[in-house]
Amino acid sequence: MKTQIHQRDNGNILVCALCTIVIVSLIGANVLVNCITHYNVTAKQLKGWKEALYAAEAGGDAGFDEVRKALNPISPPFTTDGWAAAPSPAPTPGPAWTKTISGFGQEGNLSTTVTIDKLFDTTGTIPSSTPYYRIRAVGTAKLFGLPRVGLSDQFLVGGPNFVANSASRGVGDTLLRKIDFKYDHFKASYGDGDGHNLSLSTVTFPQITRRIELVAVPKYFVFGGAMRVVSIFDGPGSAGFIDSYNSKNPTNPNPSSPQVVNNDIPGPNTTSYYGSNPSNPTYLADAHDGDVSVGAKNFAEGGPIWGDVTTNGGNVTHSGYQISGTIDNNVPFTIPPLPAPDTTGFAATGSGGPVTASGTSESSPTGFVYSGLSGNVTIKNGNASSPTFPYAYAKIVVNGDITGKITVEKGVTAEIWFTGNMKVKAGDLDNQNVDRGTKTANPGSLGVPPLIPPTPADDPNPSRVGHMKFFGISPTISGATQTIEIDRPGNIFATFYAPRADITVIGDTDIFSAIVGRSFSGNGNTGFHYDKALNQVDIGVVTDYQVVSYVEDIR
Amino acid sequence: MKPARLHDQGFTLIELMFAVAVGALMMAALVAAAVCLHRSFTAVDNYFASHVQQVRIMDFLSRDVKRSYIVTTSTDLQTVTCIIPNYLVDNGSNQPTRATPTLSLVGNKVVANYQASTVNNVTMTQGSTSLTCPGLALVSSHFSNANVGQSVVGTGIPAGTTVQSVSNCSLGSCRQATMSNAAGNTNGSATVTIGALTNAVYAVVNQAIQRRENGGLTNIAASADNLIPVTSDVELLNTEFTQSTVSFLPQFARGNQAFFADERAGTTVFSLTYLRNRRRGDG
Repeated sequence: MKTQIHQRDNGNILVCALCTIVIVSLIGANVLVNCITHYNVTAKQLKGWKEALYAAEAGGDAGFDEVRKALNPISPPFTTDGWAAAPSPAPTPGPAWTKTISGFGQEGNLSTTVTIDKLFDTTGTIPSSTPYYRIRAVGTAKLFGLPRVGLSDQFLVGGPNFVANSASRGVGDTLLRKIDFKYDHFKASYGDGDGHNLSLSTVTFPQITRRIELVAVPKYFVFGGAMRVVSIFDGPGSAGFIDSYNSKNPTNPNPSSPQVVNNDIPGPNTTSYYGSNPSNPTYLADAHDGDVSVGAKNFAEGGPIWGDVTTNGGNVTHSGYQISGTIDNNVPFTIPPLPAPDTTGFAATGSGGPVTASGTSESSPTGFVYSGLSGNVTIKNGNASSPTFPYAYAKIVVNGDITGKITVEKGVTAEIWFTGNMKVKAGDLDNQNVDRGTKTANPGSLGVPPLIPPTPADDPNPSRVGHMKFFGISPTISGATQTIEIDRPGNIFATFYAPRADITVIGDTDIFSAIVGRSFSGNGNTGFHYDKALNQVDIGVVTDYQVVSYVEDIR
Repeated sequence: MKPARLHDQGFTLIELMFAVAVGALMMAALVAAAVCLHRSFTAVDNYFASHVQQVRIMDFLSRDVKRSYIVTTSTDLQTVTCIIPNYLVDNGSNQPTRATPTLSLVGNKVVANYQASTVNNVTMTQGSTSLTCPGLALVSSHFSNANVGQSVVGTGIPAGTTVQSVSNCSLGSCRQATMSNAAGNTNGSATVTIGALTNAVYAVVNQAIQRRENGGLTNIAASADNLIPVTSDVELLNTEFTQSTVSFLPQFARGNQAFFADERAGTTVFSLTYLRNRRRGDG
């Protein structure tokens, strides 16, 4: 009996304790559920949302890489590697191609589908004959974790979810991340993105998709770095170096003749070119853009390179080479052959002698045609006496070799196109211009009033180097190459764009230039100095493509 | 067997009072523990909830900045204005379509516009609403009658500005436009973008972070009372990026103001985002 009385008393205490535990457990469980919910959002769904963008951008990169193949006449793009014609309805006017890349990311949870279509500009911004490309990429990330939070799964075809009006799209995460737990909300609401083929599609796994659109346009600038060669780079000389300067830099103490000065930053006993204050990072930066790009793995270095280096499959490292900038051994590129220019209206001349240029713009130069250039040629400035624009432009086409001396008078910008080979001394390329050719005031004199207007305009071409440009017209015979051989003595102030030319520089020549060729070799103490002002030179050929627009379709 | 008499025996008053006192103390301790536990759980719950909103706000802002032409921040760094290309064509239904890009030149740089156009070599004067672009319409870009009512953006033009009217027109090309707001600086060769642009503004309103897209409220945070955003815009020669932080004060923070500041700083989430379509400074 005693036992029964005690049992009843203990029972009350147990009930109280159980109630307390239950209440506390309910509170704790509620918090844990909330925490798990937030964890799902922050860890799993956020990860999926971000990775979907990474997948979309990976697709965009793959598409852009394919677009760049459009420069290669031998291996046209969109024909191999899984590319196929885009399904109907394809983007108009087309043609359009598509490719799906899947199975990458954690446990293969990511995939991307890229669609590229070709467009032509009708605004005159770029030549209407050259296409540009629209790259649309969809990145999809499979969602890990429990699908307990997120969107309503009651999508209707053409229903009210995710309309263009932002006020009725939803709230919070529903508005931002748009998780497809059961149905693909985009296909249900927008079909292919333009209202075609709306369908209620079941998704295999909960997923997040993100969509981006890139626009890739042709690039016409030919001298984006010091040197760009297709097959082999061997230089500079062991006692030379490659660096850069900017002839537009107004603080250069002597821009017409850049000074070689000691530069202890970033390395000792090195010479470089920059403005009056070596400690100024702005001008020091001008000295370190002597970038070298090689379209193959063949790279050999003598002296230091003050700039970035890229190869295609090379094994270049900072430890084994003297390179101040970044190194990337996985950058393929091609340089299209350079066709001969139209010489209609050009004056036929012999093999040398003086000619006078009077063209007033690069698009309307005075033209001359040579069968070969073995004698000395001086290109005179026919506008030198002009009170307002004492500058002239010439375009010379040489249907043969160049072996003679070429002089370009001050104020003349000359393009020299040639089909054969070139073999000259550095001093034979006599560019008499200066950097930042400035206006010369005419104050008049006693009894003689100044001219009206009293000061001619500045030279539109700020670069001395940019006044003398050589273009190697690519041989039409398959496999044939050109050669450009430059020997001592003298320095060179000229550019070379010759995609099929093997370029050799011998001796202690300083080259103020930018070079595009098939190969380059410089021995001795050949130094190379890239003028950054040349990065805007445009010769009307497509050298690459660049992405000019990025948008995300946030529906 | 002698029956038990334990149940007939009562407690003395002192025993009873002692037992009640001990029981009360135990109950008080239990209640206090429960209340503290509940507060702690609530604070943890609130912490996670605030963190989720913190990340969401940051993601919204980063996505908008990334696709913006121009981003500006207020002096107190709490208001961010993003000018975004209008990619979607609102055709009045629930199925907007994607706009086709058109190309324009800004200086010697090619840009792509969606439902917008670019006008180069524009002259603007500080304090004036007038924009002029000299030259022949055939060789340079100009304004058009279609620009009236459209958004206009560019360096020195306040966010939300529209074209009120155009004048000096010939064959559809107009050399002058009047804006709804005065220019903030003087520029003789500016570049402006005109068209159907999206204007997204992030601001703190009544202690809550709000996003407004073309004036319409977007509910990005259900309750953001204790969230504080800070965004700074950094312009470099060829690029532009924003650095943003969002912090909040945890509920379980106790102590003086300095301690509060430390507690808030400990919750800071940081984001750095580059503009992919930078248009500022092109002029």
